[in-house]
Amino acid sequence: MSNLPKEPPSKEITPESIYHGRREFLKNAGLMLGTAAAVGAGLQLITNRRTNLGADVAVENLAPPPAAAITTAHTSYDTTEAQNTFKEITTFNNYYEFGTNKSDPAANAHTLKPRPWTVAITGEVEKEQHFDIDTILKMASQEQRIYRMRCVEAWSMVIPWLGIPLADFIKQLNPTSKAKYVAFKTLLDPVQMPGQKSRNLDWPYVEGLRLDEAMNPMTMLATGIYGKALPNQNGAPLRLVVPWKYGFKGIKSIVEIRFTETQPPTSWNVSGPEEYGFYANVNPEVPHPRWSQAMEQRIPDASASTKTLKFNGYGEQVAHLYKDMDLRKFY
Amino acid sequence: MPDAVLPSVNRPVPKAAHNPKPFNWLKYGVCAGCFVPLAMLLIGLATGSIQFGLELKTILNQLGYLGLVLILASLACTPLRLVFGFTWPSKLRKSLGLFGFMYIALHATLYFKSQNFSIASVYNETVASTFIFYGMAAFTLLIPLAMTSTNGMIKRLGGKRWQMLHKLAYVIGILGVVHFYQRIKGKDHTEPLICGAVLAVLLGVRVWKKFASGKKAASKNAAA
Repeated sequence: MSNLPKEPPSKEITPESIYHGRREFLKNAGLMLGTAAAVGAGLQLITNRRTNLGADVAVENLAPPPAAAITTAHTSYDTTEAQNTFKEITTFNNYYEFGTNKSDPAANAHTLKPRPWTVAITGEVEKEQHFDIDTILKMASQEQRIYRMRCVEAWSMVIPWLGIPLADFIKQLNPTSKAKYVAFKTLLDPVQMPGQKSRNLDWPYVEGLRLDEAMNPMTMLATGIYGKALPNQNGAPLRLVVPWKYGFKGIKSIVEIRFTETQPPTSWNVSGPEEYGFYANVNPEVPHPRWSQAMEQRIPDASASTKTLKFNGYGEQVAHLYKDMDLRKFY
Repeated sequence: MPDAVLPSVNRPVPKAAHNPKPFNWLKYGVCAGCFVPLAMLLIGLATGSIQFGLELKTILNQLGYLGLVLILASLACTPLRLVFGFTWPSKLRKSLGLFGFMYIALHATLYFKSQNFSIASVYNETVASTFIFYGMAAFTLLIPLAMTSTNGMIKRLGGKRWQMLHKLAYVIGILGVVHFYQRIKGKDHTEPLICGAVLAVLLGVRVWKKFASGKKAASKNAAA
């Protein structure tokens, strides 16, 4: 019937459509993968995901801060709640001087030089003067205090601070009778603090307390965490810790303490007066204009499943400071 | 010898060489690309390089931003045709919109999780702050659009009604940009302002074209 050679079995024959389509197929596959790569990379780029948490700070490499004496005995102020790890405390930070992402300070704060460091004491004091940081550390005995820290953004941690009670320091400065407030100022140096090149806030960062708040025994000038010197991203070499207030009151890397007669400006209050008050006491009953403050996310929990306590649970120690005040008005 | 001329009458006529419907590499490529951020997030979580609790806010922000960008991209398809005559973006409009919805749905789910899936707390935040309210409104409005995105639904609704319904995308875009703007802590509003400017252009083109075509129609009518 036919003199053509026998055909191979039909299953071995490349279907003609594919035979003709293979170039087309390769071209299409290439174009598709190229498009996918471009779109994927573009989306990744704009969301600017930073997976790099920065170099891990090795605890053992940090020296304890030089001090006359360190008391690590538990004080009555200490919480017994589980403490956050050194890594959590040092890689999850709000410190806009080093970037606005939580992981930025750990990655960028290495440019800060916490020694030599001088703190200026100015304003309504008997004598304006400058102190070297290492002198300050010897002016009062350092204590460990395990405090809750509640951020205004509704997350919280438990941190074993090391530091000196601010009152012990202030008593040696002899503020005058005109001194009603204490103002604090962070270092202004865009080379050491690259975040200051952005216009996120008016630099330098400033904070303030009423004098009686500053003299409360809970208020401290922190010099370390976990018995070691304060890492840069946590505000080395000296920062404020006011555990019953939102974390932004805890100004970092302090270079000036000024005693004033009138209420000093504070950075977040200047930036958003409706959202961040001068007092900024932790208060579940007064919501932030953009979110509720009733609950908090205890790092590293994945949800806000911890109830926020009034004055962050330190009402017994500090509620009397505000007894005749409307805390909704003075938020 | 007819067999020699046509060795196999039974074989199908080759079609691939002139396929009437070429492989839509653009659409499949864009879709694959849209999965990349989600895949990277899941890989990061699985390998532990992203710590869920520590980076909850970051992940929330990124999912929301991705959703907004994709919705803006889907809103850009029609203006690209109106201004430059490009028809290829129109084939991507639905996919971009649906991927936008996917990321916003993940964003909302994560937010609900951050609120411990407590209806009371989500409700309280929604009524207490315009920030959450606008975001929630945008997400809610996206749901009917995603549900009516199929060709079948276009037929069931009828083109006119479907188009009317899908004009909600403009409202969603505006709500999304405002929500994004309100989220920014501090003064650097660059990103939401860029999104807002893009959205303004995309909506502006539509208004301008409608106005121009209305005028043309009016002058035609006057002539007739």
